[in-house]
Amino acid sequence: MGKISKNVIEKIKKKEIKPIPKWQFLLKDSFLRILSVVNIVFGSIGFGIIIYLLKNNDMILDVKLANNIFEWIVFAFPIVWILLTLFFLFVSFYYFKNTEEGYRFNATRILLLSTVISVLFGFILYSSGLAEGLNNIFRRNIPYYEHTMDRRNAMWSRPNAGFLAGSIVSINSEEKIFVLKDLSGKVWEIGYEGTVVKGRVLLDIGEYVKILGKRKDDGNIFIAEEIRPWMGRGMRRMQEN
Amino acid sequence: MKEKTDWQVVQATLDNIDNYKYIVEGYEQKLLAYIKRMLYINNQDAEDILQEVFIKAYRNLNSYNPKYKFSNWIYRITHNEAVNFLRKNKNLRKNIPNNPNSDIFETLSSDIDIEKENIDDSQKKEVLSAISKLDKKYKDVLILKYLEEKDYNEISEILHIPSGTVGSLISRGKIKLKNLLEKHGKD
Repeated sequence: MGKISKNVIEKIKKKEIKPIPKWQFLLKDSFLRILSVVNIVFGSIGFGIIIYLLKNNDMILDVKLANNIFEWIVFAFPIVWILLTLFFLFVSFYYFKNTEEGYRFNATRILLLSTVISVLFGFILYSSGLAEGLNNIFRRNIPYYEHTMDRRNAMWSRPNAGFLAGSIVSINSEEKIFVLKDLSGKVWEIGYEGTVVKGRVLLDIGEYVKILGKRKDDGNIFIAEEIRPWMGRGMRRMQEN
Repeated sequence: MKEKTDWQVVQATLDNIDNYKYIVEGYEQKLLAYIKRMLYINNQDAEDILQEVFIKAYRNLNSYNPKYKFSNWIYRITHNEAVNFLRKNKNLRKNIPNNPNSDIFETLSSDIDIEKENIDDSQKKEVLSAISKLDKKYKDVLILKYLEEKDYNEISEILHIPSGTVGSLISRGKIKLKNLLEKHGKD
């Protein structure tokens, strides 16, 4: 026996080194594959919700609702969902690359393929209404979801910037005033003398509306310049949930 | 044991550690040379690394997939150990070996189109020195291609990179090596 083989075998025997069982390697590889697929699923959900939020956003096609380009980007695009989805895709790629045969595939192709799969399943989730359903579940159960992931309500909860939304509690049509309960439950007095009231707005008690205008003297009086229906671009179902 | 395949020897080793000597003896010279080519270290240090390679290989023997060549699997472990050694010894002095293998240099110099009819020992050292100065990614593939005489698929399995990437790294590595040698020739 040669010097090296003698030393190696003696050392293995002395330290009682044993081969790692095969099942551990198989388990590790299966785990990596599963994590890769799970992250593709998360990426698909992300894409589905991004499509849903983009399709149901007032600001995306109405730049004048924003005071500046930064505000438009923040409210029009679900930035946190976009970042989260990219993160899921990258994690999926990372796990796949670390599987036994993952190195054989070109990185760009893997990323492109996982993106295409996620977008495709994202469209299916959106078209089937599942993306919207999931978004509503998240809104109800995840704290601060509406402040970070789905900022459509937040966009209409900025009275100081001139954006307010909520349901009509009572109407005084003679004085052109109605009382509105906003999305956080706060009560406002809305003046609508000479206001542009968009089609489909009925000004009925219980009706949800979106109002562009000005807050008066930092109090709970809001002078409406334009009243829009709450529904449209998917907001009706959002309100119902 | 000589007639047995690597896979059969692996199975025999899992049954009885003493059979591991067939694997160790079958690969020790090749892997020792590979470690020295990668790290430019003395024989004793290279043997120490090699022992660690064989211990690590034994511990991970069950991860070997008979679908692929055993030599590529053990070369990969060797490569990783050499990289670990480099990480731990960042200030490693690069001693270029004095007796480079002449056949390799004829192949390499013609392949990278160096105009040298007769390559002498100092020029061989020059080529090895130039390889050692290349970025790690080029150095790794050029050593495996020209000094270990591995093909693209084998290099892909050893370095865990796609074979297409191996091809482009070799092409770019050859250009960089040629530029280095030409620059050195002018100096």
